[in-house]
Amino acid sequence: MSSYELPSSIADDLEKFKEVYKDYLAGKVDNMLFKAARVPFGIYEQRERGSFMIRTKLPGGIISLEQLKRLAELAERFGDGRLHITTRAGAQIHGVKIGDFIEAIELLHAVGLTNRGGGGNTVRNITAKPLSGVAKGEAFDITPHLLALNLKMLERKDSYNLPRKYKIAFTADGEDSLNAEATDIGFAAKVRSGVRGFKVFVCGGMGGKSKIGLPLIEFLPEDEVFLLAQAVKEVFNEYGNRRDKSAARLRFLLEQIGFEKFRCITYFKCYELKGSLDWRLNLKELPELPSILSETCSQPLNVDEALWRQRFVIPQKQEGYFAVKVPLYLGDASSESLKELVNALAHKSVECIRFGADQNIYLRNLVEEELTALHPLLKRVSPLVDKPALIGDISVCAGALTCQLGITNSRGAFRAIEKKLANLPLDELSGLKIKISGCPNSCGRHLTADIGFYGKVKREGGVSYPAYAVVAGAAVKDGRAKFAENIGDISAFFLADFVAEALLTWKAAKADFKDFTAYFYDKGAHGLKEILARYANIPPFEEDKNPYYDLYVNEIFSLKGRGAGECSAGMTDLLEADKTALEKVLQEEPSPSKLSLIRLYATRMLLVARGEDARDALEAAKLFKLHFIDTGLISAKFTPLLEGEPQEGVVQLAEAVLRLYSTMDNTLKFTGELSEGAVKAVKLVDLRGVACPLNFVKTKIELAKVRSGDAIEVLLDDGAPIENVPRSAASEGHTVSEPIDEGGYWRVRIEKK
Amino acid sequence: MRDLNESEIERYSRHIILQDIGVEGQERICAGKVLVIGAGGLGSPVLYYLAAAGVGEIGIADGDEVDLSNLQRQILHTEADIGRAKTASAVEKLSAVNSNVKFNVYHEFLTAENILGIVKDYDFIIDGTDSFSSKFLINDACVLAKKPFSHGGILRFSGQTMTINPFQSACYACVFDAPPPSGSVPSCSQAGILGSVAGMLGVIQATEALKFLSGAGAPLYNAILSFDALTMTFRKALLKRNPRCRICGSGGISGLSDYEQKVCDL
Repeated sequence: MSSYELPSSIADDLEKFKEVYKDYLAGKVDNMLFKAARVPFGIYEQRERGSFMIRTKLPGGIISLEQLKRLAELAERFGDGRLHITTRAGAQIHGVKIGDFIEAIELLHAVGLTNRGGGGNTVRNITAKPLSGVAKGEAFDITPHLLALNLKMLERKDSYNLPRKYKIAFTADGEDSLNAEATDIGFAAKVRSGVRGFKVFVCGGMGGKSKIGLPLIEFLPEDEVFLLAQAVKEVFNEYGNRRDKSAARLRFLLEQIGFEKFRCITYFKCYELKGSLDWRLNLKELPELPSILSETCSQPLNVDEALWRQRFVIPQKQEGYFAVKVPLYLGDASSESLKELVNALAHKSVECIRFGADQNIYLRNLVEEELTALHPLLKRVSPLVDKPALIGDISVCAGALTCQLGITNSRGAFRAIEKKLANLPLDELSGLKIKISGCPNSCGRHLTADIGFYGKVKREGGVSYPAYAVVAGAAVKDGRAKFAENIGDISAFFLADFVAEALLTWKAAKADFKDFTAYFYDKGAHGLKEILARYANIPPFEEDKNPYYDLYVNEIFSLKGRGAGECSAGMTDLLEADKTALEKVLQEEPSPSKLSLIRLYATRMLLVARGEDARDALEAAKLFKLHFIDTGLISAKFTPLLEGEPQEGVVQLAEAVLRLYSTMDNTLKFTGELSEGAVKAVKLVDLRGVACPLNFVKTKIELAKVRSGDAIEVLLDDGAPIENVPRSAASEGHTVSEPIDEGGYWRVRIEKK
Repeated sequence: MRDLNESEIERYSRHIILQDIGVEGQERICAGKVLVIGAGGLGSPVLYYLAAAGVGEIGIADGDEVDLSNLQRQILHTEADIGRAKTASAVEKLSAVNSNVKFNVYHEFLTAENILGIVKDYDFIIDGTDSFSSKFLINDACVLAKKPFSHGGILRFSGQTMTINPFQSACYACVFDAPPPSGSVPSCSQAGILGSVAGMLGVIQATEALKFLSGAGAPLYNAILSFDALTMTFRKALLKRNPRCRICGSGGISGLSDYEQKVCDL
C-alpha cells in the first residue's frame, strides 16, 4: 500500500503551533503572529470572519481508506459536512471553528496525515497524475519517487520559511507534461537506454506573470530527484525576493538573474549538497498486484451502466484491472457518501483510491465484478457520475464566496455552464478541458485549459459588473508546452451562452481536426472571437440589472470584502508589524513598561530574517544575541541590556536595530553579509512624466535601495530629462550605460557605485 | 529608519540632489533629534533652518519671555509675541514652516539639575545661550552625556563657534578653562550686538548640525572659527584636546554644578 510517512519533526512543529495557539486564545499573541503560525499549517481564514479552512496535504493525491474515512469524519464533525478536493489534489475541510484546530490536526496526524506546509511560503503538496502506476503508456510509476521526495521535504526545516511557495510536480506521460512545465520544479519521467530518470523543468508557474518552465536537465538519474529539488529550493531561499511577495516566486528570480546564472548556481549547490547531505532518494518498491487468473466474464450491462463505463472506466496497464474516475461536483463530496465508499472498498487489500488535481476521485485496481457493484454507490457520491465526462472535467477554484482574493464566483459560473449544457451531446466532445478561476491567480489552472476563464471586473457606464477573461488553446506543441492565450472578455451574464456556442462550433468542425488545439490554431481562435464579439455588450444598469449580479449571488456585484491574500502571511508582514510597533513606542514618553516593549520589539523584529520566531521576550533576547550580536551585526556593547530590568539604553539598541534594518536587501540580508556572487538586481523605474530635477531625485531614491554593484533601469522622457539625469548620475560616480531610444522615451541602465 | 514619502521627496529634493547628502543623508536628517538651547538671537536662525530641513525631532529649551528689545535680532518672534514664552512663540512659527517636525518644548532655564535629563534624548545639541555660565554648563553636560554639540558666542560685531565631539575633539573647557571673573567682560546689554551677526553665527551652527546628522563633510572639530563683521575677516584657529582639561581630560568630571558668572542678560 503506498502511503506517505510523517517525519518525527512534524510532531515538534505541532507542539510549537499548539503553544502559539494557546497564547493566541489567551490574548498573549496577536492576530498577525497567529496567522503566520497557522497558514503554514494549511489553516486559512475564509471570507466569513471566524470561519476557517483546513487543508491537508496528500502528495500525489495518495490516500488510504482509513485516512479518507478520518477526513470524512472530521468534515462532518468540525466542518460543513463536505470534503473538498483541491487543484493540487489535497483535501480541504471548510467552515472549521477556531476551537477545533488542534483536535482536528491531531486526529489527522494519528492516521499519518499532515497539514504542515499546506499553505504559506512552504514546499506545497507535490502533484502527479492520479493514474500514476496504473496508466497505460506511462514511462514508469513515479509513486515511489514522489513519496520519498515528500518525506525528505517534510522533514527539513528550510521547507517552511521560503521567500514564497515552492511547488513540485511529477509527470510520467507526454500528454501530461504541461503540469511539469508550469510549476517551480517539474520532473517528467523518461527512460534512457533502459535507465530511469527525469527531464527537469524549472521556474514555471501560473499566477502573476505566468511562465512555462525551462528545461534544466535532459536526464536526471532517478535517485537524484531530492538532490536537485533541494538545491533549487536552497537557491530560492538564498536569492529569492522576500520583500515583495508579488515578485517572489522562483520565476521572478530567473527573470532577474538569467537562466545561465541560475543554472550555474544550482549546479554548484548540487555539488555542495552532495558533500554535506544524505541526498540519495530512498526508493521503496511498491508491491505488485496479484495477477488475475480468471477470464473476465462479460455480463450484459444495462444502458445506464454501459454509458458510465464508456465515460469513466479506464482499463489499467495491469491486465484485468480497472481504474474509475469519479467526477465530483466542484470538487466536493459529502462525508456521508465518502464513508459509504470507504465501506464498499473495505475488503480491498491493495491501494484503491487517489485524488486528482482535477478535483476528482480516482479508484484503481478494481476488478470486473466490483465495477458493477460500485456504480449505484458512486451515483450517490456525485451527481456528475451520470453526466458526460466533459462536465466533470471542468475545474473550478473556490471563488469569491469563500476566497478572500476572489473577484468572481467561479463556482456559480460552473453551475450556469452545467445548466446551459444539459441538453447538448457532450459525449462527443469528451476530453475537452474547461477551467475557471475567480481571479487571475490561476487556482482553477485556466492557463492549461482548452477553454479557460478567469474573473475580472469590468465597467459599463461607470457601474462595475462581473466578467471573465477568456483564454484558449493550451497545448504541448512541437515538444514545448504552451499556455492558453487570451482571446477576449465575456460578462459573467453571457458566460454560459458563450460556452454553449463555442462547443457547438467546435463540434461542427471536429471532424476536420486532430484535436481542439489543432482546431484552435487553425480557424478556432477566429471562431471563438467572433462569438465573443456577439456577446460583447451588456445592457446599461438602468435597463437591466441582471448582468450586474454575479452568477448565483444574490446581491449587486462589488469587490467589498476582498482582502489581502492570506497565502503569504509570513515573514515580512511580521517584521513590518514589529517595526511599526517599535517606532510607535519610541515616540512615546519613556516608562519602564515602554522600555520593556522597546526591548521586545527591537530584539524580535529581525529574527524572522534569520528564520526564527520567538514567542516571548526571553527567547527573543537569546536568539537576538545569537544571530545579531554574536555575528557582529549589532555592537556587543548592548549585550548587558538584553537581561534584567530594561534600561534606557534599549532605545539606542532599538535605533541600532532600525539602522541595520535599513541596510536589509530583498533577500533579507544585511550590508556586510552579501553572499558570494551577489545577484545583480535590475529594477525598472518609470520616471516618464516626472520633471527635472525630481526625476533625478527619484533615481537617487531607487539607487539608495539597491546595493553597490546592483543596477536599476530608468525610463526617462526626451528633452531635459534624458540630457540631465544620466549626466548627474554619472557625476556622482555611478556607471551609466548608453541610453536606449524607446521611441518617445529613453531607457537608461545605472549601476550603483 | 523609514523611507521618505512622495511629498518629502519633493520637499527635500534640493538636499537629495546633493551628492554628499543624497537619500540616505536626508533620511538621517529626518530621523535626527536636535536640542536647541535658547530661542533667541542664535536660536532663531538655527531653528528655522533645522525645521525647514526636516529634522525629525527638535527640542527647544528657553525659560524666557519675549521682550521688545529682542525683536531687533530674534527673528522668530514678532510684536504680537511680546510677553509670551519664547518657546511657545517659536513652536507656532516653526510648525507653520514644517508640520512634519516633532517639537519638544522645555519652558525652563537649564540647570545642573535638569540638563542631563533633557540632553540625553538628542543626537546633537546647539548652544544658543547668552551667558558664560550656561555655555560652561552645556559643555560639561554634553561631555558627561557624550553628546556632540555646537558652541556659539556673539558680541558687538563678532562671533565665534566650535563643534565639539566629547572625548574625540577639544571641548569648550579645553580652550577656556573657566568663566571670566565677574565684571571683567562687558555684558551684551552694555556692549550691544548687530542683529545680523546673530544670524551669521546661528546659520553656521545650523549648518554644522545638518552636516553632523547627514554625515556630509567634516564638522568644525578641534578648531574655533571666529569672525569680525566690521572687516569681514574670518579666522579658523586649530586646537587640540587638553589632556589635563578639567572636564574631558584624564581627571574628568563625574557630576555637574552651576556656574555663577553671567555675561550677558539679553
